[in-house]
Parts: sequence; C-alpha cells; structure tokens
Amino acid sequence: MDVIVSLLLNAAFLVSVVALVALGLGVIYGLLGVINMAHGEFVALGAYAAFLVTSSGVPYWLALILAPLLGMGAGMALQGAILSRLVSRPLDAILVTLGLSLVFQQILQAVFGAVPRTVANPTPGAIDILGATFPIFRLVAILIAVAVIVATILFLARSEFGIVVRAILQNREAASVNGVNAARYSVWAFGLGAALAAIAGALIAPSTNVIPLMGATYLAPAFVAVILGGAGRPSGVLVGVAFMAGLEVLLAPYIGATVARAGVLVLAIIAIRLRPDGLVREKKDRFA
Amino acid sequence: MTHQIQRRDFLRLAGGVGAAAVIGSSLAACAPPAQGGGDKDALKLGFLTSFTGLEAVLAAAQFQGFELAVNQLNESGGAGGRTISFVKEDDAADSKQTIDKANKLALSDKVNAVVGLVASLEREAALTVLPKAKTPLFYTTYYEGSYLDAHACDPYYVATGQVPNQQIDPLVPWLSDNVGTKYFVVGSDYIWPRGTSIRLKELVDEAGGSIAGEQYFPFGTTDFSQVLREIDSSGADIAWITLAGTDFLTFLTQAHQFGLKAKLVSLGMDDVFAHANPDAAAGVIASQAYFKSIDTPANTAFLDAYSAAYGADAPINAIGVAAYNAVNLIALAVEKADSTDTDTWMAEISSVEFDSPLGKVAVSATNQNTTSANFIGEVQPDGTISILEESDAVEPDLPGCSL
Repeated sequence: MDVIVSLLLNAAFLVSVVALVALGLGVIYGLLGVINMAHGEFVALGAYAAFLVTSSGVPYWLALILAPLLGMGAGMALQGAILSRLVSRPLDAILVTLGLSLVFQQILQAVFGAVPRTVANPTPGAIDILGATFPIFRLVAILIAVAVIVATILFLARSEFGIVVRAILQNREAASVNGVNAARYSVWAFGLGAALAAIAGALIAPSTNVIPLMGATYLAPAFVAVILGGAGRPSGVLVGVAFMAGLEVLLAPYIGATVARAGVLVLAIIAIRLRPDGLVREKKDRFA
Repeated sequence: MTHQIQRRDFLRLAGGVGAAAVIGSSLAACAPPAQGGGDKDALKLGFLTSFTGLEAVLAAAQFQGFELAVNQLNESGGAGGRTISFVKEDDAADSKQTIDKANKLALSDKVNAVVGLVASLEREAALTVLPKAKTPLFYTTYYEGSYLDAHACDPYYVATGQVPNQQIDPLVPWLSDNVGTKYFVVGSDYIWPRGTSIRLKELVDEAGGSIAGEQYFPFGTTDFSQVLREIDSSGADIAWITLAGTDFLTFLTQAHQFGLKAKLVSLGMDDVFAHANPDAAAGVIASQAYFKSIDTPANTAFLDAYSAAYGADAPINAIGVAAYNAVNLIALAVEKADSTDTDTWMAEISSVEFDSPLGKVAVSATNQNTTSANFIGEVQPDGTISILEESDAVEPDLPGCSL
C-alpha cells in the first residue's frame, strides 16, 4: 500500500511542477502561436530568484512573489521588444527564442557561476502518509502548484483578459478591428506564461540544485506535453503532462530510469503520430 | 495570415540550421594556432576539466591544486630551470567537447602534457585522441581502474588518482565491521559506477554480504524519490552512492529531506561536496586518498600555502591534491630528463618520486598509476570530515595492464 501511495505522491509532485511549466508554455503557444524555446530559462530564473532570496536571509516564501514578478518582467520584455516583430513568422520566432535561451543560460552562468547552488528547505522534515514517508515541503509545493494552476485556468476561461486573448488567437485582424490592442494583450499573455514557469522554478529549487542549464530538464517534457495536449488548450496540456511525467515515474522502477526516459519519449512520438491534433479531442463549437 | 508551419518551410529551416552548424564548426576548427609551445626551454601544460556542466562543483579545487603547483614550481626556478605556463579549457563533462578541447590543446596549443579531467567519460574521450597526438594525459581523479575494459592502460596515460583496490578494498571490510553487510547501489549510468560496482560485488561476496538493489540513473536526473523509498523498504544497511557531480548533490539533498534510514556511503564524498552542502552531507561515510583534516606536518604546510592562495575556507580534495602531485611529477621527470621532448621525459616518469602532502608518491612502471594510502572518514555537521580509519599505501592493481 505504501508503495502505491509513495508512487502517487512522487508522481503528483513531478506532475504538478511540470504542469506549471507546461501551462506557461501552452499559454504562450496556444494564445500567441509562439513555441518559446527559452521557456526553460524562465524556470531557471525562478529558481535563482529563490536562491537570491534564501541566501540573503529572507524567508523563502518571498521567492514565490519575487520569482513570478521577475519572470513576468522578463517575459514581457521578450515579447514586447523582440517577438512582437515576428508575429507572422513562427519559424523565425523559434530560432530567436532558441538563440535567446543560449544567451540567458550564459548570463545566468556569468552572474551565478556554473557551480550548483542550494536553496534551503523552508519546511524541513517528512511526514507519514498512509505508510509512505513524504517530505513536508513537497506536499506544500503540490498544494501551491495546484492552486496556481486552477487559478490560471479559471482566469483564462472566465476573465475578460482570457476571452480577449482567445479572440486574438482565433482571428487577430478581426479582434483588432473590434478595438483590441493585440500587441499589448500578447505582451501580458507572454508575461503570464513566463511567470508560471518562474513559480515552478522557485517551487522545485529546494528539492534540487540550481544550475544555469536546469531549464532544459523541464522544457523537454513540457514541450512534448503541450504538443500531446493539442493546440495549447489547458486541459489538453494537463493530460499531456500526466502522460509524460506520470508515465516516467511509474515506469522507471520497473525498466530502469534511463530506459523509462527514452521509452516515454518514444511513446509520445507514437501518440502524436496517431493523434496529430493532440490526445484531447477539441470540442467543435457550433456557431449557427 | 495563418500560424501554420508548412512542411516545406520546416525542411528549409532544418536544412539551413544544419548548414550553418557545419559551416560554423569548420570555421572554428580553422582557427589559427596559438603562440608559444615552440620554445624549447619552457614547459607548457594543458589543463582540461568540467568547469561547467555535471562536474562543475569539483572543477575549482582541481584547478587550484594544479595552479598552486605551477606557481610554487615557478617561484623556485621552474621544472629544472624551465618556466611552466599553462592553457586551461572547459570540457563541460561532455565527450564531444572533451575530444575537441583535447585536440586543441595537443595540436593547436602544442602542450607538453594535459592534466585534469574528472568523470571517466572525459578520460575515455580524451584517450581516443591524446595518445595519437603523442601528448600524455595525467588523469587526477579516482576511477574504476581497468574494470569494464576502461581505457586505462597506455604509455601516454598516467593516473594520480586511486583505483578500486586502493579505494574500495579497505572500505568494504570496515563497513562490515562498523555498519553492516546489506547494500543498495545507486549510481549514474556510465562506466565509473558500473565498473566500481563489479569490484564492490566481489568484496561483498567475500564478506558474506548481499546487494539488495542496484539502480543506475542518467545524468541530469532531478528526482530520486522512488529509489529512496526502495532503499528504505529493502532494509539495506548501506546506501552505496556512485552518482556523479550535480546528481550526487541532488540525491544528498533529497535523501536528507526524505529522512533516509540507511547509512550513506560514497566513493565520491570529499571535502568539496561536504563544503557544498554540509547539512545534506552530514553523516556520509567517505573513502579517499586525502582529507583536509589529515594531521601531518606535510599536509599542514600544504594547506598553509593553499589557503594563502585561495582563502581559508576554500575546500581541497583528493582530486585537487592528485593534480598538484601530477604537475610535480611532470616537473621532476622533465628535470631528470633535462628535456621537454615527450618520449624522453616520459621515459623517466616511473623513476621519479615526489614528496606530496601525504608522503612519497611514485608512478608504477607496470601500469603508470600511483601508489596510494587510503582514509575512511565521516562528514560532520559543520562540513569537516573526521577520520575513522587509515590504511597503508598499496600499489595500484589494474588487472590486464602491463606496460
């Protein structure tokens, strides 16, 4: 029993963190059509924000405010200054974000060094859940991540901001003809996506080491999850994440970690080949 | 005005990127050779390690051990009157980059020898090119010796780090007496962990113990929660950890968070890792050729010089001391041969002896590894390592290697 509980708890932790990253990536891709190859660096930015906060003696929880602010700032700057000029050139946007990801990694390395940094655990200790020992911090992180994900999905579905941004995606010209400043909304949407990634980075930091290249670890599964989920719809993204992260955690004890990691990617390729529009069928809205 | 990516466009893009990569790397390879290296009276060394990437945490101490030796030698006249200069490069613990940088050092910078490297994969990569370029490699990190057909036997290869019969053989009997005999092995998925596990299993069998589990993880694994649970439920006394670099630190952090019950033992634990995260490292059993806390006049003198150069807090480990020893051995051989011609001074490498911070160090003529004593220690909460057992120096044993 404790084996299953432990497996599920560990999967929940990984899935919720990758879900934050994937949701951010999905927001950017789904709402702006941009595949942001620098998304992992927003995660790293969030983790380094946590490092800065804790190494200055400030309580860790402030990092959960600083990280998304920094992420949002960086994301908005990226979209406003550079990507807004590449609106109808998605291939160029991919290249630009890829180049920027390399630049960001080197900046992080120049500022913080290549040596791994540690973020002190704000809630040390582990508790017993149905026979499985689980660190308290991971439980807290899961709760925070889930809260942020739910809030984001509701925000996108219900708020005026979300409705407008979805309108921009459906038809940019029609939206602007209706008085919407597409450029300004895109900047905010990108900022939101980056902020989500940064929160994920701050949440993962106490459980791992902070290094300049850490973003790549989270970009790959998030990327595949977004593609699997189909067209960046939030529910699809979550299904994609459950597939990628969850499957790897569940398979690894039985077939070895290296094989599991490769195997899940192979399965993802097969899944995309069989269902190119994503695992979650999109509901066809009727307008008539 | 759609956002769809046409297949044609994608293929064009991929082709363009591929062409750019090919052109870019061939332009880089055409870079003009560096100045120097042609002066007969100077000794030029190459230092290559993982300044970035997986083993970055170990790079500073290794480089500082190397640099301290170079500076001390130059202050007292150099290697038999020859000034020592060096070129340092980063291999990012990546095979391809190691090959590229090793080639650059050997062929473009024309160094007399390359010193450094941490992970065994770097050594394997470097040894595919350095012997061909007739540039000796001095590898300073403890490793798996000749297990799993490791490339560790070559006239152009000298190792100043420990091999299993020096580092593992004293440890297992001590563990049987003091901790237990049931092991769970967790390592990174490459030659060093798998190779050292072979020797471990031989010794565990001799001790009548058992290995309850054995798992290997790819580089960059960020979550060990599953294996931590399995270690606990297996009832193992000892968690034998041969994870590399950053992954080792990640595991220690998580083992601490999960409250792992088994005793952590690692061939990789040393003063550098203990200094990086004392909380997570506390209680781990280490087995090395060198700990900072060794109390001998030679080590005190060495540490005085080291802290004067790099700060009292700067950690130093067996890898750094081995780099220090390697430079001194090279200098002694060059001095004895009175020549920087590679084959001439390398012929003297197994006939010179150096007074290291740990006593006399000499290179074995049979396999060009060095004699080494061993220390078993436990990391204290303040990050220092207290020594629990000391074993005498033994000759390195590399089965199948005879030069």
